[in-house]
Amino acid sequence: MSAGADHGHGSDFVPRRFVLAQFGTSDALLEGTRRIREKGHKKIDTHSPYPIHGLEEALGLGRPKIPAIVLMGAIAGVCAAYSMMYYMNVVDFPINVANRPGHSMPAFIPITFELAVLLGGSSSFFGLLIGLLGFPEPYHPLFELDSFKKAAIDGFFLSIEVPQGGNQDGVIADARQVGALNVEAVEESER
Amino acid sequence: MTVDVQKFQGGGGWMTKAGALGVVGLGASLAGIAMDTQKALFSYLVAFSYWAGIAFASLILLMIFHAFRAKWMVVIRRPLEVMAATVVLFVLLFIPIVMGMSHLYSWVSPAADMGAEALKLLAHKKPYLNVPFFVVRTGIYFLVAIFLSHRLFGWSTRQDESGDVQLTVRQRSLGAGGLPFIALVISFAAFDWLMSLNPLWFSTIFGVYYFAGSILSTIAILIILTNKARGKDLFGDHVSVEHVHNLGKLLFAFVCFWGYIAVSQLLLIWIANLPEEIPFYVVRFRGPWVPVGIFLIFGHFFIPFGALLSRNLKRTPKRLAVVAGWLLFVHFVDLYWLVMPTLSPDAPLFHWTLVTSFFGVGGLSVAFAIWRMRGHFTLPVKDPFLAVSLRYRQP
Amino acid sequence: MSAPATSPAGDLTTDPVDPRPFIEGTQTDQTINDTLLHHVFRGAGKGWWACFAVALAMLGCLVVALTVTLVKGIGAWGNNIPVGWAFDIINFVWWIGIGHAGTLISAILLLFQQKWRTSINRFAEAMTLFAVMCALLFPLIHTGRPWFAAYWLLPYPSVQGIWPQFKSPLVWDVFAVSTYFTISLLFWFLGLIPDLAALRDSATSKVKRTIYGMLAMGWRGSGRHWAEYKWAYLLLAGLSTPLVLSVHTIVSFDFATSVMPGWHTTIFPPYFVAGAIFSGFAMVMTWMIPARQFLGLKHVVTMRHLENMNKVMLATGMMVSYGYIMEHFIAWYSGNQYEFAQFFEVRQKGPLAPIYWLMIFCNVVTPQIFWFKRMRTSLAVMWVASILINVGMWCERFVIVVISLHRDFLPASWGSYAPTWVDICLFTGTIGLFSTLFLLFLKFVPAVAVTEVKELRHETEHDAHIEASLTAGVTGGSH
Repeated sequence: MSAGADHGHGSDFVPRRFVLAQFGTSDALLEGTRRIREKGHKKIDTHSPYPIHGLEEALGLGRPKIPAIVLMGAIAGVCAAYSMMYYMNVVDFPINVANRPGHSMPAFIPITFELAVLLGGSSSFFGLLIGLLGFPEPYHPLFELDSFKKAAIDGFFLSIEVPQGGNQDGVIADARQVGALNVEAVEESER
Repeated sequence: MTVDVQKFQGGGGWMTKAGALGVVGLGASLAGIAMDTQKALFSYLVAFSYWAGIAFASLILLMIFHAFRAKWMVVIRRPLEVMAATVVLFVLLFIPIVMGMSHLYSWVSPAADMGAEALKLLAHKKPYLNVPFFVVRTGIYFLVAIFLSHRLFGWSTRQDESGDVQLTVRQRSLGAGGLPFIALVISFAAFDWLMSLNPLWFSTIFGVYYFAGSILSTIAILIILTNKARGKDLFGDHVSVEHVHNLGKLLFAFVCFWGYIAVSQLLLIWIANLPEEIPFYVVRFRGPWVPVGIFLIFGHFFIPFGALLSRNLKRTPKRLAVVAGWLLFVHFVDLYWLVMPTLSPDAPLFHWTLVTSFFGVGGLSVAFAIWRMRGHFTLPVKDPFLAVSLRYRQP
Repeated sequence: MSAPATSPAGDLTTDPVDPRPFIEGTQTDQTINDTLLHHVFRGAGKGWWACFAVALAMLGCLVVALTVTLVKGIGAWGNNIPVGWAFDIINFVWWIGIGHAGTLISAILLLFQQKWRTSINRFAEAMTLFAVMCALLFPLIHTGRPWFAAYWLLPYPSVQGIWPQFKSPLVWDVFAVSTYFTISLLFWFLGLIPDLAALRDSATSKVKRTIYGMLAMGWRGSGRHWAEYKWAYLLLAGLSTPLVLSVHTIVSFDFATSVMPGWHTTIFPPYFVAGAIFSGFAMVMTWMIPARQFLGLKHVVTMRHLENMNKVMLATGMMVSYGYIMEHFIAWYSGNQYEFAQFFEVRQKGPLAPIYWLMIFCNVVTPQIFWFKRMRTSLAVMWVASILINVGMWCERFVIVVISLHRDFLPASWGSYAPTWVDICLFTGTIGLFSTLFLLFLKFVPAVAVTEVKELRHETEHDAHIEASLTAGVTGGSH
């Protein structure tokens, strides 16, 4: 999942190896994913042009993390907005406008709401892309395979990272066994 | 795919209990009116507008579902149709209000001590605020609602026998086409029954406010019903957690909608501070009425909002039903907060007829609804989309 | 007796009432990919260049008018006391309202699980961004010296130690509109990422592959990514929904918090929101009808989509009419002579009454034709109606802003209003800005959310498979 950031450049570079298996349909992919996981492979991932119903179960993923991040963002927005307005209009420089009280709760509602949405929404976007997905990640070993281009268009793929010192041929054989149409291997190139 | 249900013949025990409770409660309330006319009438108005609002809002929700061509809701549609069909009953229940109008509405015979300016304004409003026109208008509201609910219920049950797809087309057309009329009906009903309690006060959003609270209660009742109506021939057994989840989302959406409408009205009137508008809130947000207002802000918005954020809660029917029950209670407090300060601006007033009227009107409505349900299927068995609805899953 | 409840249609995938599909023809992921991305890779045609030239000419008007405004100051405009707000605020409200349709289609219809949205959401979201840009221009320049505006609009610690006045709806506006723009941009871009990856992997030239590749940021359709992505997208939709309502609500507060007759009424927030969606859908229709023709999108933007759009316009048009009814009724019922005069004398019979009646015709009468299926399915009718609605909603803001202001409490302070050429050039210019940006969007980005259309096609096909296996008797009858 994560980028090759932890692989230093130079002589100690150990390339990651991936096996990419293509499936004919989304159902075959789900079935293949389930079975390859049963075979004990840990670092697996699927690649499809759109989300497929049932992927989470097939990959054995837990609950998504993003809702909690968004909720925290929104709460931070509420606190930031209200304390900002309270400090500026009540504590630091009260201005009497139309004899409304400095601390005017109804009048503080709109901005409190807007900042909750702003910070909640931004944390959804940045929390997802930067925090959870580790983007931007322009290089990934899988991109070196020409057939992988179909993953964004109409192909259904399963990728398995071969553990360090693991047997690549064994992984390929496993992938064939669970119904892959086409299996390829790729090794990370040093940059 | 088959659904193994027969026409509903049960519920007799519940119908008897609810009916008995209704008759006793209503009798006590009428006795209360005889003893302490004004307080008992105001209490009765709270209960009446509570239950009648739910009947009207059920009709509106049903029509919105038809207009949207929603398929997931087919399995829970029949109870909604029945709740809408109870609107007939409220014609009878409106009689005490007509009889006691002069005690409820100060515009019926304005007292001379209201002041010259007020009397002048009431004279201006006379073409609208007068007893015959008031009664005629309420008659029109009921006619429209009875017509719509009767047609929708009738077509739906007729489809149970024939399975004719054209009946679905008709329900959808009437659902969409009737919405403009029913929207005006519930708005002006709110103006007449509730807003004219303070005849000098006005708010263009008031109809929407009444609608928002009422439809929230309708959804709450649906949630509780799907929980309870399980067993032989009942639709609850066919409702899955996916449907309940959708109802939970609707409940959440309308909690937000109510909050939005309430804040819009409060903020605009508070900030403009005009002498003809602000008294409404001066009474309610100054002095002894403050706790009720604060209770509504938290009880009607923040607490259910926070609870319903949880996906887990929305997918746990029992816990969702607790939130729904809470909202049913809070909506009653909301109507109490709208009505009672007119009678008793100085302090919150509790009169025992509030309880008897609530159970009187409510018991009769429930009994009537069960009676209308009997002899029909509790879900539209031959609706062309029932199969889709039964197999509905969250995307 | 027992009731065998069967679905008369037999299968779940065809709708017995309205069997028209949302994606026409036999499509695969590959054909959808090719047809929807085709217009991006194809060279610009003569028609596109012609439209672009017109748009650029109108954009030129904007440059001229902006220069005059900034050099001479806002004295170059027609507004003067008592009509202190005029074209600037009318156009601001009009544009921002147009933007609302995009968010409605992408967020609210997503929450309502209306699958037909997938064909139009990308298009409408782009429209939101460009419309909000046009809208933002007006409040910015109406401050006169926008380079000073930040001092009192944003919480900036100036030397005087004075902060923005948070009890003013104009400050709320700053927060609302800037939040709206930011969140719309993020939402749009998040939805675009898988499509950018598809563009990257379909591109034939290295330059295009590199550019789209950088924008896609390394998206590889990973299942682990999709699992979080779906939620992030849904949550952004969930946040955008109240946001879009709040934006026009706060715009309505600009008026309704005052005590002006015709401005101060509690129905304003929901009624402004309905009007915004109404005009936004009309603008989407105005562009969508020609675009689906010229970009070859008829198989994904079908007549059924257009019919649904017309129904939304009918519904929101009725809500706007509801607002008018409530306003007029309470203007009389309140017994307030100024309100009454505003609604029943000034607007209906005053010197600017034709604009009021045009508004009523366009906003109340025009949408009524959509009750009839024949009208809802006629391209010519709906296109003309959409333009009329755009005009009508512009008139509505004119009625609210100018007509209310030019006749207030005191006859001695009544005035009149006429726009100058700078006003008209500015307005034309923003239409040019909008068109330019939109034409560029149509040229460089897929106009339809490719990924979501593929997903819809996949789901439909998948359901059909399950249904086929069920009716073949593979699995049993009961559910």
